[in-house]
This record gives sequence, C-alpha cells and structure tokens, in this order.
Amino acid sequence: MNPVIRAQGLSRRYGSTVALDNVDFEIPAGRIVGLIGPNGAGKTTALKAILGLGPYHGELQVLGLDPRRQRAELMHQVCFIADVAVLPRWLRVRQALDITAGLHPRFSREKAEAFLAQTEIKRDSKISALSKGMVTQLHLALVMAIDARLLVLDEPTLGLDIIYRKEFYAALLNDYFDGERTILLTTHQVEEVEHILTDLMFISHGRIVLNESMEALGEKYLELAARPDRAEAARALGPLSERQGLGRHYFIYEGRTRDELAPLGDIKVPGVADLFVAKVRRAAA
Amino acid sequence: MKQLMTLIRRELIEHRSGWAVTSVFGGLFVLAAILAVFGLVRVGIMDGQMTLAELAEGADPAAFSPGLQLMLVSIAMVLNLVMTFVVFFYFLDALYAERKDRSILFWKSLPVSDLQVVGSKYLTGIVAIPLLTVVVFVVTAVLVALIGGLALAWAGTGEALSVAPAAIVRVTMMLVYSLAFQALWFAPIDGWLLLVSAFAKRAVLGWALLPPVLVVVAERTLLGTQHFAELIGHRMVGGFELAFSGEQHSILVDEIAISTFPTLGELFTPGRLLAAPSLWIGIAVGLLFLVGAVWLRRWRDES
Repeated sequence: MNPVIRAQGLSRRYGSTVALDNVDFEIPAGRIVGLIGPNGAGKTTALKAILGLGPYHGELQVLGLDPRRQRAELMHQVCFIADVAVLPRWLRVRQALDITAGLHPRFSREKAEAFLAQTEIKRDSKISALSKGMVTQLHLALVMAIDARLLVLDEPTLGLDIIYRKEFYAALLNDYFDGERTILLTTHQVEEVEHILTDLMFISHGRIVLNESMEALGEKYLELAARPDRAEAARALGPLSERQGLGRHYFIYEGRTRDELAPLGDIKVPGVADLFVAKVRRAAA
Repeated sequence: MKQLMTLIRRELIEHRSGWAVTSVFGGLFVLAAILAVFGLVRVGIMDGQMTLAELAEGADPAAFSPGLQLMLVSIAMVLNLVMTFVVFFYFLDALYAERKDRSILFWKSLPVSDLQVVGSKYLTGIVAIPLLTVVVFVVTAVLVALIGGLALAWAGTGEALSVAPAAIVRVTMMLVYSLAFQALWFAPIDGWLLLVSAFAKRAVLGWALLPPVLVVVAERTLLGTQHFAELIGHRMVGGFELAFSGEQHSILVDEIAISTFPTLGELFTPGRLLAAPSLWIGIAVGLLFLVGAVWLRRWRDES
C-alpha cells in the first residue's frame, strides 16, 4: 500500500536559516504519528509543506498528490486544524455548519450535529462569544464530520485547560480514528498524547532525529535506574543521556539489550519526554 | 455553483456593510417621504406656497411621471454613490481581514482553490452587492412612490399613483445599466484594491492610495507632465460619458425639457462603451491585478 505521505529531500530555508534540512520520511496509512520538536525545529514548516501552505524544495507526495500544484484537490482528502481559535469569529455556529457543508462535499452535517450535541455549544451563538475550549470543540466537530484520509493537527490543544485537552484526544481516538485514517499531530504536551500515538517522530534543527513505531521504541530504547555505585559501569555502556534524582542515576540507552542492563538496576521503557530530551541533546551536540 | 454561492454568502455575512449601509440610506429616503407628506399636508411645501391639495389640483398631470422619475433618479444616484464607497472598502478588506484574524487557515483547510475564493470576492463586489443595492432601491422606490402617491390620491389626484409603476421600472433599469457599466469600467480599480488587500500587512488604505499618488507626484517633478493623473481622472469619470448619451444633462437641469425625457434607448450607449478600447484595456489591467491577488493568497506565508 502506498504511504500517505512520502517526503524525499524535503528542504526549506528562510533567508539564511535552514528550517528543513533534506528530510526523508514516509508515513503509512492507519497511523497516529506525533511530530515532536522544540520551537523552531521545523515542525510547522513540515506541516505547511504537507498541506501545501508554503513552498519547499524536494519531493513530496501526500495521498499521491503534489501539495503545491494540487492543493484544492488535496483538501478533499486532508483536514487540518492549524491552531486554536482560527475559526472566523464573526460566524455563528449554525452558519459555520452551513458554510462547511456548502464548501466540503465530504462533510456530514449529521455527524457534526451529533458531536455538537455532546457539548454545550448553542447553534445561534457567535463564535466570538464561545470560550476557547468551545471553539476547539466546534472546530473538532467540523473536522471529525469530514470523511478525510489524513488529519493534520498543529498544536490543537494549545492554551486549553486540562479537561478540554483530555476530551479532545479522547474524542479523536474514540470517535474519529478507525484504523484506516491517518493522524499527524504536533504538540508540546507530549505526555498527553503518548498513549494514543502509534508512531513517534522527533525533529530538531530541521532534521529528523528519531522516527519509530511505539512498539519498536520499547525494544530499541531502555531506561535504566541505577544506584550511584553502579553509575560508572552504566556510563561505560554509552548511554544517550544521564540524569540524577532520588538517589538514583537514570540512563537512557539506544540499542542495548535488557540482559546487558539488568544487572545494573531497574529497567523500563523511557517516557517520550525524557527520550526526546536525550535525543535532541545528542543531536545538538 | 453551490460552492460559489456559499462563498458569496460567506462574504455577505462577514461584510454586512455590503447591504446594511445602502439599506440604511434607503430607509432614510422612506422616512424623508413620510416627513415630507406630513410636512406638505400641514404647512405646505418648502416656501409654504402650496399645500398638498393645491399641488394635487394645480399640477399638470403630465408632469407627475417626469417629476417622480427625477426624484427616483436622485435616490438611485445616492444609493449608487453610497454603494461605491461600500464596495471600495469591501475590496480593501476582502483579502486582508481573513489574514488579520488568522481565519484564513480555516478557509484554506476547505477544498476551495484560491482562484475560486478571490473570484467569489470579486463577484461579491461587482455582482452581489450591486444586486442587493438594486433590491434596496426597488423597495425604497416602491415605498416612497406609495407614500407620496397615496398622499396625493387622498388630496384629490390618483395620477401620481398610476404613473408610479412605469417610473419605477424605468429608473430601476437605469440603475441596473449604470451598475453593470461600473462593474466593467472600474475593473482596474477593483482589481488594484483586491491586490492591495492580499498584499498589505497593515494600513491597506495607505497602500491603496499612496502608490498612485507617488506616481503622480514623481511624474510631475521629474517629467513635468501629468499623464498618469489624467489617466486616473479618466478612469474615475470618463466612463460615464461613454456609457450615457450627453443629453441626460439638459433634462436634469432644464425644466421645460421634461416632455422630451429621453427613452432608455436614447440614454444608454452600450455600443459606444463596448467599442471603447479604454474599457478593454481597463479590464485587462484589472484581470492582471486579480491574478496577482490569487497568486499572493496562494503563496503568501502568514507566519
């Protein structure tokens, strides 16, 4: 099966700054991919290229289409939420439904109404009168009612309080994701999406420093919690990173087996946030 | 087609001034008519020379139709002028507002091309808003004629009421023709405004007005000529001379000429307008600006 996104030698510069540096990656169908990176790492630039919102160099195919030349066609199959609160504030909720229905042939009004029925959003409210969380709920309702093959979310929960954030991802996973659609998302709050992702991509300084499925991640990366007296031995095995806390030294390893590490302390799969810090520091060094 | 209608509906929701401002002016005319009727009945017209009853008795029945037409023409001209300002600011805002409030990212997530979007905005300005202006005019004209006509009928003559329908139809056709002509003739100005609207990061009005002013000043200081200023002047007013026969003027001024009120066929000169190279050059320049606006909306990076 063809990948949903295929990028080869994807590059973009802003003046002398390299935002994307010759990046290659493929995203197959049916995955939930988290694109994680520090500010200015090139996340948004990559998403913009995929959505045909900005220029780039290199080869890029999304659902077999060229985002530069076939953008309107692509948007039949691709949905995105670029940022919170970009819905036009002067629209009423009902008008937003009308207009999306009038412009998007794959939009199901019944589905959107069903999602909205679970919220407290009134049809006659102006979007400017809704809270930030409600605007996001509305946007999600609009997007989830579109029968698309790829959904791109760029920091979709930025600035929302915790309840809305949890609900947002729950709705995404339970009501939208069906195993065939593909979701690509960026976020700062890695911990909140960790459990829903199937794949993880780290990006730093315009390069991809990690691109793994979550299953492979648990085999390839291990975190060791060693007592201080074992720290020297642990360092000898070449960890990606080391940090200290609560009478233990924590090491993250790439490509070490459990058998090698077991004698030195307790082993677990590293958290995405810790792994991210380790990989990005390593890449920057 | 469904998409285009939806896009235009979006414009009219976002830019309510497209129909609201002309409606307010239409309402003012109706209000004025009501006040005039009561004024006439109670104190007589302006100088107090005639009451409505005297007017109903004394006026030449043949003068009612041209008189009503003259009044309707002035209402139409005011509405047309108001609309011109509304459309001017609409075009300036059309591609700017969605960038300013960042909602462009929502619009760009929908499967509509930039050509369709810019096209819908242009059509809103040259077709949808003018059509709404015609609707406002017809409603205003019917109400004003009804109010005035009923007042005169009550005072003794049904003449004004009976000539009203024909007069309204006639002036409506004049307005429609005039708006259609302006849609074509002002293409370069409209295109320029949309281009600026897609380009400017802020101060759209400045970006729209300053470049032409600078060209005029530069030409005058460097070359001592004023061709560009003349060009702009011709674009502002020259079209009317092409689209209408000149006799219209004498009618409005000369009261005796009332009986020779021109037919629409004499008044409109679409052949002369369509044969004028300046019309087609203007349209070509306008299209060029529109292409630029489409390109900017497609490729402009907002971050």
